[in-house]
Amino acid sequence: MNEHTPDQTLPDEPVSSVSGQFSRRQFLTLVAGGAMAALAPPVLALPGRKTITVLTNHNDDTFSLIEEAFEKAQSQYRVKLMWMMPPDATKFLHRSDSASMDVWWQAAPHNHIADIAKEGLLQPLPAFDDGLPSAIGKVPLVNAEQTYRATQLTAFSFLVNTKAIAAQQLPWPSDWAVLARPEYAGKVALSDPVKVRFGNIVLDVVLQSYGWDSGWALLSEIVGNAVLLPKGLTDEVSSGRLPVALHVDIVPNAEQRLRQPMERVYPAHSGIVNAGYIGILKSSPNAEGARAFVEFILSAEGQQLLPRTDLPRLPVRPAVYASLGKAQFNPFEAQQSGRLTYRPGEEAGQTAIVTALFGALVKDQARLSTLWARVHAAEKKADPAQATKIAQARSLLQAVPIDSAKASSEDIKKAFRPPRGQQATSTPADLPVQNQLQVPEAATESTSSQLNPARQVAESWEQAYAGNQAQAAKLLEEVGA
Amino acid sequence: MNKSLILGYGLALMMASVYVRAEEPTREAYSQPVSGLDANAMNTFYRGRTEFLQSWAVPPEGGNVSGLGPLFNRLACASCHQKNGRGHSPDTADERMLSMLVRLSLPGKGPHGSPMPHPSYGTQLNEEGIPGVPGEGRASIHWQESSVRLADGTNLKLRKPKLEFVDLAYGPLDGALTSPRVGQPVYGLGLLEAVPVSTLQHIAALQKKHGVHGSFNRVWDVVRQQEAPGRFGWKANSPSLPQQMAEAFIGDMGVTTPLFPDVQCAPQEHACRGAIPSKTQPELSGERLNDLDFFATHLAPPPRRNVDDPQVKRGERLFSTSGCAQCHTPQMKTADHPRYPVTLPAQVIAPYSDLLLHDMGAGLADGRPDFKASGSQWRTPPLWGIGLVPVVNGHSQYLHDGRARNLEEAVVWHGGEASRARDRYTKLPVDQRKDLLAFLESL
Repeated sequence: MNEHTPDQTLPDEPVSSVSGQFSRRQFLTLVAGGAMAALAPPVLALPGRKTITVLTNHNDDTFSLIEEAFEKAQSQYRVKLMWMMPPDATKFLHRSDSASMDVWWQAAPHNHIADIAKEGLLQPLPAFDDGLPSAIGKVPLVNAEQTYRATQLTAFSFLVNTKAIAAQQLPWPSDWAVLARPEYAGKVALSDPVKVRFGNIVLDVVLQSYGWDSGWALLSEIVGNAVLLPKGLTDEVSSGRLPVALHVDIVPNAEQRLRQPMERVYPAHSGIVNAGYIGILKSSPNAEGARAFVEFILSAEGQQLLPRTDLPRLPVRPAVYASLGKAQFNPFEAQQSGRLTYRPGEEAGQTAIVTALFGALVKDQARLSTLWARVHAAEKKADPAQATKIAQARSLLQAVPIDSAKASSEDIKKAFRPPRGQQATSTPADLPVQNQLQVPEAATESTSSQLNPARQVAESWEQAYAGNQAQAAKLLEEVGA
Repeated sequence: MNKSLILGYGLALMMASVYVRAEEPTREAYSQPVSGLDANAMNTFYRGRTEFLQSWAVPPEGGNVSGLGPLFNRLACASCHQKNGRGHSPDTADERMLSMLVRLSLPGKGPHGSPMPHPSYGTQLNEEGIPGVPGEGRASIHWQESSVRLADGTNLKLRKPKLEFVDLAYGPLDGALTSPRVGQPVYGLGLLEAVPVSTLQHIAALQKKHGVHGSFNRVWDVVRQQEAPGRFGWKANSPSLPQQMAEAFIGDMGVTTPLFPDVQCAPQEHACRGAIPSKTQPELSGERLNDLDFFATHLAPPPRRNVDDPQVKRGERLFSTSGCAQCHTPQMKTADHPRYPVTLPAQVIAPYSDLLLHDMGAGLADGRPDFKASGSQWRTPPLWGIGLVPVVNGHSQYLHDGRARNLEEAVVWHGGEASRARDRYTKLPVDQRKDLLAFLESL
């Protein structure tokens, strides 16, 4: 029996060589053994694979899937990865030792690649087929000079713990308005837009989808139900402590796959919040390989991998959605059907203003929540004699201190414009702008409110909200609510 | 065959529910925490998970994740342990090692009995370098195939790796001992760490009656600065999880930790020695290493599946009667975990490993000693979760270098102390071999 074992049929010493040489003993053993069904070709020096160095901040799982598939598809290349967050990458690309970089593939809310494109650090991309649209809604998927292209999209969604929803008998959160209902009091996890960078996206999605006045009215009621968190939304929902969180879809998509009770829900009013872009550096030492890499990521094969990673992304090639299954959200279909009501970029210049308004709204969030709970309780009683005052109280809590025209007026913008020297150095005009303007909280660190116009304006909004809330409270007291 | 080992099977299945969930296996099957962690513990688990997934940046950029290299293999723990699972080897010589590396040394002993580092390349080939620092070279695998005929006439193709080194940047590797290794699974390690040495000694004593000679590796504990039993790694060359992880950080990613605070550059690796250092040293703080330790310690092994399937039950009996269970110990009891007694209290586990070294014969030998482990000794790898490798990692490669392309090949590669068990397997009729493999797939 022993003659059937690998100990006897294969060499009895470790097989290893340097520079492709079999040892004489190994070779004789292999031949004399007579058991070899096949022998690898003589080991010669491999023709060198040309390296493509890719700068990225995609997570390891995403990149590992892409690089392995690419290297199998294009065996003449090997990918070398350098990982950096985009602001660091921007700095790094101005260093002399960055000359070995070929490609920058970015995953970030702000398009940093557009910044370096303006500096002329990118070279033209290869031409692509018609299967890659140039935009989805107002989100550009390629710039005019065609030096960078989007490879993936991120949309806004809800992260839902279905077990918690069922256990608490909550209505299914199919859209924003459901989250404003009384049943959701204290059950909505929300990143605090005042404290979390890019947290303002949730405000912009609602305001654009519902309009300025109705949007703020809805936000006020949702915030009355919300728990504002600086971080940890996912953990709160996955643990079941809170049944729903408002979140860009990357994490909800991952969580949906990771844990059984977790589900990602795209509300009826949603939007693409950003795209991730790729570009080839002008100084690329392997431009041919770089083009091959970019072409692969944008090919059907590469695009199909993006939703399958730990941090799933939406492909930019519409045709691939047909092969991704019915459960896969298709943003291009959603765009056509009018579900993507958010138009990134329209908030340009208003981010700090909207964020400051939100800060004023939640200055006393506990009070706001209590007042909404009282309104909801009174409305549930449905006493016709009290209906008018309850409706007035509701209107007061929904009211926003300034209208849309005022919010976009030059005097308000001027108040929130950063002092000279603090402006963003290169903000792409054609793309979503984030945190471009001064936020009052940051300004107060070194400047008194008397000298800080943004702070002065924000204080007036806080007073307006407080006044409305006081009036609402009085009305509710009058009806015994 | 030890009766207690046989009788332990059923109990192990029952006790497995202590730390598993009954969910349909997915790609996340190796990513679940042990049950019973409270909110604070879960937060620590999540922090550690973040560290495990984090890619490292080239200094001086990157803030608190600055520290890659100067020489390295991959950028994140998860690169070689994707989804906390098993790495794989390249299928062809053209493909590179994405979740695999090559250990190097010279004949002889290094400090404290460790492998003698190669003067130019140290103890593993770092294929990559940060900008301005040449990677050490490339290792590629050429597969040599052979045929093995089983007792019923079945021909089984086996493959064995032949390494080739090209583009060596720091001189020849002549005379080097080499050992290609795929990334090992990282779940269940806390439970394995909590198995008392006395339990393993008892198992070793029982094995001797059957001509099996399990032994401890004796390795250097860098924290306690003393010799200690080895428990982790393909050759059990690391005594604890924190040390194992810190070794991987410095060896695979070039990231310094309190346990290994110095960048590893050989004297002639001038660019490596001259690379811009990180602003913060060590690059991974003790606190963050603790979070990682907590994460890895509390990753649960996946639950078994199909335990009531008649074929699986038949296979389980064959696994025992063939003698596989003499080393792949199906059940053992842990003590309270040495660092986390509250979250990992004593329990019965089913790792299908004795954590001991065994001579596995010339066929599997790498010829590269590691502390007390000889060139033909390997630690019995735990088999729990092995049936989910295709689901989680998308391949079906097994053994230290991924040479086995399915579980049957892995069984047939066993030699040395496992020869008798392997021979019993190869003499089984095909239906019974399938039963045994079905049992392995249920783990």
